[in-house]
Amino acid sequence: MKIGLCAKQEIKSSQVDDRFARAAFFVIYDSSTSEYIFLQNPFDVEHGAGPKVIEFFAEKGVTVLIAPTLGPNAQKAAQMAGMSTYEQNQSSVEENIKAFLEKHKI
Amino acid sequence: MIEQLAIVSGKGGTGKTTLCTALGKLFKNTIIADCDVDAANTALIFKTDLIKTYDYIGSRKAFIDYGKCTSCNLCIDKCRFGAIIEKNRKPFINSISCEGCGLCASICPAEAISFSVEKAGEYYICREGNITLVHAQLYPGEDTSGKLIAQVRKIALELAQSEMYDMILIDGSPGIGCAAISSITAVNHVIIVTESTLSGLHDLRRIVSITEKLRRPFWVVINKFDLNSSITEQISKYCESMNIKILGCIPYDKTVVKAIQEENNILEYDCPARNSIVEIYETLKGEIL
Repeated sequence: MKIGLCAKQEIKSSQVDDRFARAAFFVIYDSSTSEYIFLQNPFDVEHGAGPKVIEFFAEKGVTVLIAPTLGPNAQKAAQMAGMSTYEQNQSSVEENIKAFLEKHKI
Repeated sequence: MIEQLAIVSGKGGTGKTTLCTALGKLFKNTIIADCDVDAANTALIFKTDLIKTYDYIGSRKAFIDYGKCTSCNLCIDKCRFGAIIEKNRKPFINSISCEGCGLCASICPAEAISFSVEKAGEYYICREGNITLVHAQLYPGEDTSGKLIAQVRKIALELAQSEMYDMILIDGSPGIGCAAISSITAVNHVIIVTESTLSGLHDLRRIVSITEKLRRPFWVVINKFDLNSSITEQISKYCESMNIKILGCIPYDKTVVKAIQEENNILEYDCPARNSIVEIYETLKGEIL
């Protein structure tokens, strides 16, 4: 399973970013290999960043999103992409993933 | 922790900036981020010194390489924004209308169209005494965006962290679109300012639904509450039914108009509106501190 997150820095101990589509970095964690991929936010758009980021995650095979509260358009896009969304804790990327995996017994 | 408090309204002209500039003076050690970039006016009320200027790079715009263009004018036909017009039998891009969608570049048989970004405005850090202000100015024809608001907020937050400010007051964009959402997202609290008019009530409902979707705690302030008592009653009933706390009410007061005309903070005048705002400040302190 691939989990998408938003991070302030390019390390797994980074705090999660409290902005979704305008986060500094995106993280994709693969639970089958325990690998992290960090990607700089490629969307420098003026409007409509939310749905673009959902599409970006969906194309990369992300099915679970641990993120800040999504705006209305991003919420709709996530629903259409069949992505499950969970509200992040104010902690690190690593801790958010750990909490999610424990909660869902993965 | 730095408190981020956004002041927004569904309807424009309800008194966000008047409330925000007053609260900015009452709360000590505060940064004000003017996120109503289409009509940035918070800075007018302060006599600030400019500390730093940043360039704002806007959206991408189409450019035609006339060395490659065969003047087939297909792009003129297909542009949905009417941003390409014919001039001397050649296509000409009106960059004010160009939305940067990329359609023309993708259909151009001669591959003569490319995109580049341009400076669309500036944003600034200013100071008046111990009040710091971050605000932006766009060039004519450019419109405000979630991106610019995110940048203004980012600078405000970095300053707050490095210079130990307690609070960021966000003078938000009106409406419920991209700019309003970018003003609200990730804040700790929201104050929604409404007024006792029908459109005030209508737009209050809309911004409440957005703020709830973003799951931010919020309160309502009713400005000019004595203009129409029956609508004020409707607003109060609506808030009660939605379990929304009304922080306070501000009366219609011509001194506010005078203060704006004289480019002064309302706190500098002894008047009913000022007294109500000070009461709101006291209530607010109890809520967030």
